[in-house]
Amino acid sequence: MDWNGVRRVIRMIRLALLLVAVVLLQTAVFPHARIFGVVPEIGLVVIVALAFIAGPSAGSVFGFAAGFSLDLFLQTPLGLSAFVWTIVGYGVGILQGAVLRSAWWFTSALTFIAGLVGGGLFIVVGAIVGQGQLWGWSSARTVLIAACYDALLAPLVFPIVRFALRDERPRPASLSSGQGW
Amino acid sequence: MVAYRKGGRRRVVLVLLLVTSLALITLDSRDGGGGLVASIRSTSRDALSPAQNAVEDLTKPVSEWWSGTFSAGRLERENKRLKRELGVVHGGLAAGRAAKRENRLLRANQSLTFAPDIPSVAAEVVAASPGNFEDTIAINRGTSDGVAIGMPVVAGEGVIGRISGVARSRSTIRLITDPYSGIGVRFSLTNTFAVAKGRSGSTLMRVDFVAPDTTVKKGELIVTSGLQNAAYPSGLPVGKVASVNRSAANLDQTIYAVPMVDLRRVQFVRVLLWTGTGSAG
Repeated sequence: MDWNGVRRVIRMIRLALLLVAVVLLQTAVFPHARIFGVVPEIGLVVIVALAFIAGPSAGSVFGFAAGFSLDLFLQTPLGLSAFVWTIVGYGVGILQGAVLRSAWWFTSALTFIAGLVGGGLFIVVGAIVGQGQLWGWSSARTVLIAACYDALLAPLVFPIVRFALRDERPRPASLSSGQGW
Repeated sequence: MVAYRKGGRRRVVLVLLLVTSLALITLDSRDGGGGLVASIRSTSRDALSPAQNAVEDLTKPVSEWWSGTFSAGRLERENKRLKRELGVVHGGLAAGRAAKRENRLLRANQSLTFAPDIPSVAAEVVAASPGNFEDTIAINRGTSDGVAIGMPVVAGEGVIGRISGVARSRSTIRLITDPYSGIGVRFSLTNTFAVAKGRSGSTLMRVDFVAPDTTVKKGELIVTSGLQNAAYPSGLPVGKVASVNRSAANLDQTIYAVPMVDLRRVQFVRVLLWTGTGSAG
């Protein structure tokens, strides 16, 4: 295996560890750290960070993997979070290409908006696939609080994701070899 | 050209992932809680359970500090309310004794024996819901203890929910306040049947399908109906009527009930080994 292959394997291992950490944090730590009865969606924050740093392919694949992993521990249909987070990962990744330089608050604002969009999609798609109980004002309130909570966590999560992806940032198009994740 | 090809591949990956997600959702919906999806969920929960327990133990002091910090306002209000209630209790001790006697008689008349002959398994609550759109808790008992999906769970003064997911050493309880939960109930004074449903983001249940001419009193006990094919045995205390609002033309009434058990603080529970057709144990 050449050096690039080794680097790719190391990066995959780091991302797998990040995925396990996300599931453990979401199922064992954050349920005890609620604000107004709402837990943050740490998986979504990681997906936003990953998609923003590494692009839409990485964002959508990690979004699917994290959503699927979390779905295993939820009562909502398996695949619902995976569906929503895949879209969020892809969307943020596409947006990343349009941002040249960002202010210090940009990551939090982006995470807040992604939280609103992700939460809204979860409710709408959930209602379509038979989870009608999600439809209501209290769910909107929950989404809003969760998005704020996610935005607060973003400045802590982005550096961790940057570390997991270090040396793997997409290079400018002129230097790109065309290799995606 | 390269950029165009890359964009096309991204879109293909996106579509594949979305189609896979939709296929999983469909599979889960058709599964009915007992097939392939249930076994995948059960296996993954078993696999991660030791790590979850270890992380929970490690972060327990921080969790408790957090809980205390963000519950300070609520605890203060609760303290004031309890002091007020204590005054009322001291003032009306004699009336309380009479009410207790009356309550005992009423319970005897209504045969509200609490899960009399049903075998049960004691369990400890080990985790709260990881998601925002469900009201569940996890307990440290699973299939190895005889727990199965659908079994009712009680704690302290009444029913708290049903087993909705089970692994070898862990189970998930869908609480009666979960928006997806609905229990057949009857009012203890009038014997009128109704359905108590959980509400998203609320600790109260809404009691539906009550005839407009039924007189429901605030504080009235509601118990499980125990009708044929009911999900719960008959007569388990569910909650007390918290409010009754009649519509202007008396055509409708909106009833809310508060669960008998404080579901935010429940720590020990009993899983009734009852599967609808009789006890399983």
